[in-house]
Amino acid sequence: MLKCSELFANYGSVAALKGISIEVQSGEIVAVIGSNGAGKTTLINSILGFVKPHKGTVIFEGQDITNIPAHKTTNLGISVVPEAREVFYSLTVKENLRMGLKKEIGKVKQQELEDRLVHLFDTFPRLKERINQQAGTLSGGEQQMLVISRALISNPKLLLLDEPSLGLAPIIVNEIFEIIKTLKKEGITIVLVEQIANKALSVADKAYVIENGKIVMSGSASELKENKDIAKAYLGV
Amino acid sequence: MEEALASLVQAILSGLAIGCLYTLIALGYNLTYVVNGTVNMGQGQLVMIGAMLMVTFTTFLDLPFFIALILVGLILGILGILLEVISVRKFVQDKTSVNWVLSTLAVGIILQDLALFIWGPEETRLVSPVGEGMFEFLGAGIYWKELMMIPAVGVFLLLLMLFYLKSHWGLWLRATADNKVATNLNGVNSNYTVAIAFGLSALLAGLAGGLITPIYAVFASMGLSLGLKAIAVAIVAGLNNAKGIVICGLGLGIVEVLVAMYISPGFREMIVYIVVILILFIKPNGLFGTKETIKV
Repeated sequence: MLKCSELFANYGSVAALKGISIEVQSGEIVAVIGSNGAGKTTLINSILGFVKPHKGTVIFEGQDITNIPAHKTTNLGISVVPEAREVFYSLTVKENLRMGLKKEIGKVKQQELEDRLVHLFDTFPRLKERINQQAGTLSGGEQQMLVISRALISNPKLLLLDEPSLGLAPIIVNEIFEIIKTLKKEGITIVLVEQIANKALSVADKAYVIENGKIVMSGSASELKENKDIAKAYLGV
Repeated sequence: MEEALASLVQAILSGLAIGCLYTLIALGYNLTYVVNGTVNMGQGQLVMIGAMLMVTFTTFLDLPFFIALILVGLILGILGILLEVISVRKFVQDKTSVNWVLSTLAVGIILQDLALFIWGPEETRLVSPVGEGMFEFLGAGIYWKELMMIPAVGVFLLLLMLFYLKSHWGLWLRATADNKVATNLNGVNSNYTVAIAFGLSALLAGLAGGLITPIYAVFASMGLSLGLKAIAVAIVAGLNNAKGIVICGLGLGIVEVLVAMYISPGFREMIVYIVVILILFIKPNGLFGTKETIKV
C-alpha cells in the first residue's frame, strides 16, 4: 500500500533522513521506533508532502506521491495524527471533526455525518459530551482523542500516527494503545511512530528501528521484541 | 429644545449611515488579518474602483442600481484574489517580513493612477435609486439615500455572517485563521483559503464603494482617506474582533457627524485621529482586541 524508497530529506539544514526505505502492506500496523531526533517526524512529513525529500520516492497505492503537497496527499485517503496534534483551538469539537472530512466536506450529507459521529463516539465517548465545546478547552488527552477522531472520520485507507503518546499521562497512553488495537481489528492500515518501543511493538505487526536518519533494524514485531539490543536501547532494560 | 433634539437625531442617523460604510470597509481588514496577519493597504483604492465601476455600470450601461452593485462586488472579489496572488503571497513567506505593506500599497497607487487615466479627475455623483427625498422623524429630516445604507449594509453583514459561520467555506476560513498547518493536514490548501479571504475583503470594499456613490463625491483619489479611516476603525476596535469593528465603525460615523455639527467640520478628522491615538495609548490591542497568545 505504501512504499518509501531510499528517502533523503532535510530537517531545516540538517540531514534528517539518510536513505530510508519502508514498506507497509494493507491492513498492517507498522511501527517506526527511534529516539528524539532520529528522523521519525521527518519521515511522516515526507510521506505527507510537508517536507520535500531531495532523493527517493514515496509510492502510495501505485501512485508516486513524492512531490505532492500535504493538502493533496491527505485527500488521497491518508490521514495523520501529527506530533504537535494541531487542534483547531478556537473551533468547536464538531467543527474540528468536520474539518476531518477534508474536501468531502461539501458532499457528506447531514445524516451521513451524524452516522459517522455516532460510530466515532463508540470509541471516543467523551467527545460526545463535549461536541459543542471549543476544542481549546479540552484536556490534553481529550485533544488527542479529538485529533485521532478527526483523522478517522474520513474513513482513511492509511493512518499516520506520529507519537500519539507524547506528553500524555500513562493512563491515557494505555487508552490510546487500546484504541489502536480496536482500529487494527477494523482493518485500518497504520504507520505508528513511537519512542515507547514496547508499547509500539505490542500492537504492531512489523517494525523499523531508525537512528540518525537510517534504519538500523527491521523485522516482525515479535522478533524485535526478543531482540536484546532493542531491549537495551529502547525498553530501558 | 425640540430643535436640538431633532438635529441630534438627524446627526446620529446620518452618522450611522456613513458608519455602516466604514464598518463594511473595516471588516475587510479583519477578514485577511485573521487568516495570515496581513491587511490590504490599498483597501481604500478598491473602494474607489468599486465606486467608479458603479458609476460606469449605472450611467453608461444603464444597469439597475442593485444589479450593478452585486456585479461590482463580484468583480472586486476576483480582483481581491488576484491581488493576494500578486502582492501578498510571496511577501509573507518570511513571517517577519513587512514587504506586503509596500506591495499592497503599491497596488493601490497603481489602481488609483489607472482610474485617473480611465475615468479622469472629475468628480461625479450618482442619482440615488431611492430618490432625493427626505425621511421625517421626530422633526428631523434625513435623506432616504443616506438612510438606505443601514438596511443594505445590515443585509450584507448578515449574509457575510451566515457564510462565515455556517458554510464549509466559512469553516475553512476560520480553520485557516486558527491553524494553517492543521488546515493543510486536513486536505485544504491554506493558500487557497487566504486568497478567498482577500477576495471577500475586496468584495466588501466593492460593495462599500458602490453604495457610497449616491451620497459621496466619486473621484480617483477618494480612496486614501476612506481606507485610512477604515483601518483606524479596525485597529482601534482590535483587528481580530469583528464585533468590535462593527461597533467602532458605527461609532466613528456618529462621532464624525457630531464633531462636524457641534464643533467644526474642519476639525472632524483631526479630532477623530486624536481619539485614535488616545485609545491606542491606553489600550494597545484596541478596545475589543485580544492579545494573540502563543499556542503550545
